[in-house]
Amino acid sequence: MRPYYEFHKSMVETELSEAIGPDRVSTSHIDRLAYSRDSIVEWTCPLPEEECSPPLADFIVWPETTRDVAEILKIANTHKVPVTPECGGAQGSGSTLPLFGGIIIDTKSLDKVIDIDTDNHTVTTQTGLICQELESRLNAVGYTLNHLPQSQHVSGIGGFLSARSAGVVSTKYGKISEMVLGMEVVLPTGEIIRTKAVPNSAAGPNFNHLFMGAEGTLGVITEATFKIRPLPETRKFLGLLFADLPSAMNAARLIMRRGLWPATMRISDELETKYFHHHESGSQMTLMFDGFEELCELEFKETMKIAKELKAEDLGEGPGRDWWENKRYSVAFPSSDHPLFGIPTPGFIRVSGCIDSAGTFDYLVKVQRGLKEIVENMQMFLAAHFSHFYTSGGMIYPTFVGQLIKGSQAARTYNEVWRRGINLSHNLGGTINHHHGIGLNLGRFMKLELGETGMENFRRIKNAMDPNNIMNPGKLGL
Amino acid sequence: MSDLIEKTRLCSVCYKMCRDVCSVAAATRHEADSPHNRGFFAYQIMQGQADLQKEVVDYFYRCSMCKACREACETSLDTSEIMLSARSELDDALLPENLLAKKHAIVSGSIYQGDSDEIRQLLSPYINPENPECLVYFGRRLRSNGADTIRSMIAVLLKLGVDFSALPEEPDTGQLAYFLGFTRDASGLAKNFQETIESSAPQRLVIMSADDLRMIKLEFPRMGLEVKDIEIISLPDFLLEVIKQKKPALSNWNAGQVTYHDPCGLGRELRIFEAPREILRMPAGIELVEMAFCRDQAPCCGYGAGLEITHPEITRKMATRLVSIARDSGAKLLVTGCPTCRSVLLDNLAVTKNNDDNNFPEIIDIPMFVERILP
Repeated sequence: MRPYYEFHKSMVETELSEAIGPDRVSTSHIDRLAYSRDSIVEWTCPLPEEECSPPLADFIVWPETTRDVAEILKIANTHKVPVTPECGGAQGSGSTLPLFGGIIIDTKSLDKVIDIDTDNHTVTTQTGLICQELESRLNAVGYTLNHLPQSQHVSGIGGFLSARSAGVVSTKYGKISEMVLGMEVVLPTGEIIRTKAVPNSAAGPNFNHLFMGAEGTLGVITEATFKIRPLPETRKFLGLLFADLPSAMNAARLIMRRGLWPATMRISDELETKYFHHHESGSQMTLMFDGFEELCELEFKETMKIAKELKAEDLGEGPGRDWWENKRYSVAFPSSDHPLFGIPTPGFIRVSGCIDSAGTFDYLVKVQRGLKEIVENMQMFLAAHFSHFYTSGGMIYPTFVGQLIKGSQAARTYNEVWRRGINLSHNLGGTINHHHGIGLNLGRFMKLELGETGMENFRRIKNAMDPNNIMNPGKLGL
Repeated sequence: MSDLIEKTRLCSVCYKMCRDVCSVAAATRHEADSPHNRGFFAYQIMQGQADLQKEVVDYFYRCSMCKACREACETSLDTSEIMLSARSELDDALLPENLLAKKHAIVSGSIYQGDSDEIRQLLSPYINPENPECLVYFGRRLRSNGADTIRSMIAVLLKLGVDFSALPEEPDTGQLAYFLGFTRDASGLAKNFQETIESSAPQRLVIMSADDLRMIKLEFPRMGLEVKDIEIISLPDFLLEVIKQKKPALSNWNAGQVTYHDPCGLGRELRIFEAPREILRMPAGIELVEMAFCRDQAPCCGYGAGLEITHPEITRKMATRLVSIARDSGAKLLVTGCPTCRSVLLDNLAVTKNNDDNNFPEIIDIPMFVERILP
């Protein structure tokens, strides 16, 4: 389909160059190709048909200020050019793919740390920093954001906010949505809005929550202020082996009920326990407590009481410490025999995905059993762990991997796995996604999550804020 | 070859886990500059899905081969290895314009002019090409424009009572030609270096530049070359050894907070991290503070693998980024482990438009630092 601006594409390029500088605008094929890719196999998720070209933007822009972003969006509105903001590009649901061409705003060029305030424990930063870039700056002054996803070397601050992400210590410190105090956002019209960076407020609805999770469909987040904390004085680790998954889950529930706040609490299902932790049976739990010495000791002791009552085997600190210090990122590094990255059998395509969701404690084991059955019935493999807990429940991180015969059926089968998995999650009472985001891949399920009325009202908000529908079109089911 | 193809494929499907440590990508903020995408472009060409065109080839030169990607990768994939292989296969017609214009000078070892008059004068009392006990190899870049460093090094060696010599004219180690992909020419230069040094027959050879040292210690063996029967030592290791031996009294220089830049060749490649730090910690009035990115994650100054020649605009961004990181450490003084890094930083800061440089730290190298701490 020919875009509206096809006739005057060079005019759009000229206006962008005049607005932010010609060295910050590119139409080169190489640049456009670099932004056509997502994190999951081959080109993208969902699978394209054979020989499908990747979605290419027409323009890549690198703004350095909020004003730059505002000018870009005004130009995009004038000419009705789609805009896709991208930071780390680490999502696997197609959220940053420029499906309808247009402009990719690479927010990584918004890379200034504006203020680290160690008296009030806040950091104000532009949103284009990769997580580790910000974390290193904070660590150098003895602080941490405590938002440490496995993708912290890849994903960026803007992406975290846009997708409502979670890091591995979220059980204690919350998701990114609990860490943000205020933000600056450029609206689709080019207007700029700023929410106050205060600890809390009752002055009307919290506008932060309008933009978090919107994945760029309601504007571009250019700056944010977050809570920060001193680096923990110490960390204490514990590994436990329970007889089975329900026992481990019960332990997690009791730990949360007791008022203990492990920084991390990870439960592996039986398959993950066998293949990754090398136990013949059972369900492994690893915990990390952090903070000052006495606190860690107390939480450790209380957790051990619960473990003992449930007859768990004490694996010592080894599994937890090893994971934290050596293996936290390992799954993401490719090798030829890696289940996600190995060369597929000739004639096949390798597929994978994470049907993550969250729900109450009684939901978690049920959904794991159900997903396992769905995936195995489709001749694929699923291993799950549970890694983000709350007082009332937690999150499941179920990864499926398989090989599908190349051809038109592959995309249909892939989409069917998701359909069955998401429907199961929804029907059992869980959310359709905990922290990886919706993007393109799960957009069609948003009406399950919000209901018809909710989805209709989401569209009304979208139409009111983005009347020309330029912001990340085709995502979130909008 | 199939091993290289598989490594390229793996880079191209990775989740980009090294992107934050790639000095080029971190400086330009461009997605196409990430090691993952360089691997992707290369793999596309290998698979016949893309043509070998100048626009793509340009990205093969947007890599300083700093090896940060290899250190960050738990499976030790090294995108720079892929880039080096690609560069060595290219016809002249595909080379970046800047590189083509200077190719002859690079492969003939004459990219840097000979000694400036000032440097010739400084070194003339020490020229001794035959059987010196300690021969200092300054490097061709330093011999052409590094008078500050050379003056400091001479002063340090005199104060420490070290008997040293220099060559009348220094042969090129071939490192620039090698990393730019002119491997056959680099071999010739390296062989000439080996023969010249061996015929001079020093007991000990001190190498000032990190990239020259890396070339001699790591790449010469790959080319089947070895400088025989001569102890080859890095600048910081040498200075530390001599200071410990001679035990000079140190001055009362109260420099406050000082930070250190790990050159790629010394740090990531040769694992020389502690010797320079031990020197910096010697004076009582100095507190060594580390940059937020240091050791294996140290940013590259932008010189490596000919990047300064092929893409000077990227070198400028990398240099500015490095000095900004140093500034953010709170230190007022940045000491580089390699005089070349210092030279690159100063050359490039002078042309940056972003002039909040009144907060940039002073930049010196190890010989200059040692000169200041010796009374």
